[in-house]
Amino acid sequence: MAPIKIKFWGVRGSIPTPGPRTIRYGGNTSCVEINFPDLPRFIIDAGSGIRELGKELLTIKDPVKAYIFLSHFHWDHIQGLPFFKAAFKPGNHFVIYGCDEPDVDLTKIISMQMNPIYFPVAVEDMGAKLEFCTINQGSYDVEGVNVQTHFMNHPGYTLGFRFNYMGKSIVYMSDNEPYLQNQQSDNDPESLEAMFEKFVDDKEGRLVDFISGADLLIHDTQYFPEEYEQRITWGHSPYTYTVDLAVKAQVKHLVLFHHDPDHDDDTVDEMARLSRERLTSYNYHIPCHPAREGEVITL
Amino acid sequence: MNMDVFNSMVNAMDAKPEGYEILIVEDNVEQASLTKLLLEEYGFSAHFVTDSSEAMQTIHSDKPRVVILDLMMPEIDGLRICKQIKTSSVTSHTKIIIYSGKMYDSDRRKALELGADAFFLKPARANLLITKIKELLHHPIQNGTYKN
Ligand SMILES: [Zn+2]
Repeated sequence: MAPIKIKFWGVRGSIPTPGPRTIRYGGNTSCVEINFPDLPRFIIDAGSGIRELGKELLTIKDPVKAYIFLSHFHWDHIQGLPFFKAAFKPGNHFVIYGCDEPDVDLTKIISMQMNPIYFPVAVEDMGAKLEFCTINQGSYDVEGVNVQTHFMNHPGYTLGFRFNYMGKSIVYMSDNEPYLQNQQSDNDPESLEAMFEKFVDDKEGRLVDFISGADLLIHDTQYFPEEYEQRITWGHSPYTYTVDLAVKAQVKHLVLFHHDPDHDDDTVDEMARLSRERLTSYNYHIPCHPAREGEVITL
Repeated sequence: MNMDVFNSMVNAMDAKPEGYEILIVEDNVEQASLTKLLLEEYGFSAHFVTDSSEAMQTIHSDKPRVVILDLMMPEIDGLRICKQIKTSSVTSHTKIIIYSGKMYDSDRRKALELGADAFFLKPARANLLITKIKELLHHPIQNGTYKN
């Protein structure tokens, strides 16, 4: 079988950061493409990185079909969509998956950012056929690829994705942070009240199951632990948590993703060095490196 | 956990008290059992469902006065259930407590916007949860404008 190819079109978190300080890893926000052999393309997130991908798709003569999985709708994950030129070409067909809100459906969530106040072209006028598919936490079949989704610890409904195909698995968790762990109780330790107050729903265990054995894990590593201490509840991870998850889930390759907009290339390198050091401290040896715009990984 | 408590948790799964006041919708069976036991210790009658897709049907048939909802559940998530409860004239008077591990202000705001009456971050202090339930239960049902 031909290999699966994963290409990074945008790796930055929060906001695009062009400029000389980010030239090596890139300044575009989240967008990753998965090419399964002989299948339409799978695209995860539509940050500013999707613009270049759209240009590449325009060079293809035949109509293009692709599946776009949106983890959530914070700007850095959808802001490239209005500039995704392939979606303006009649004949192309894009199926967009995402978890909508109880009071705002997926079509509206996408079309709102193209309201005339913000953008001159409406979603309906994009030219290509756009299909919207609401998903939740669950398991879905897309072109024979088993797509599993899991809620992330991030504001709103944010999904992580696991793609299983021909014995290979790729997990994408771009915006996720550790669960709170400090369970305390002033009640008598034997009491029901204390049990209730100290009960830990093992959400992390379920997350580890979700990631378990993945051939490739792409995970949020926005912060150093010292930064994270100041940014608890911002919805992102320190690299230490990411590495620990990778080890617990026994993944085979770890890609550090969603780089902080304030981290220059050297800072990203330093985080990668510390991540590898931490992996080594667990005696766990796998490839581990920062996601770099333009990079292709083959599985 | 001691065995007595564990056994009563297991028993808690089966029994559905006639005319119970509080329904717990929670996909984690241990969390659901523990919450039910706590409520019973304080004299409330409660029942739980762990499959969120059963929640609306159960609410329609059993008409609990308070529903305690987890947010992140497979099948149908808590906020969608909250919205369904609050927008149906049959159930809109039902009081809703969101009991979630989600620690974000935006999730809390969203839940209150969709009509939830209270939001507790897991794990909550038992006495605070109980106090809130008492308050919600003692509030006259017909007053639809109740705010926390
Ligand atoms: Zn993001």
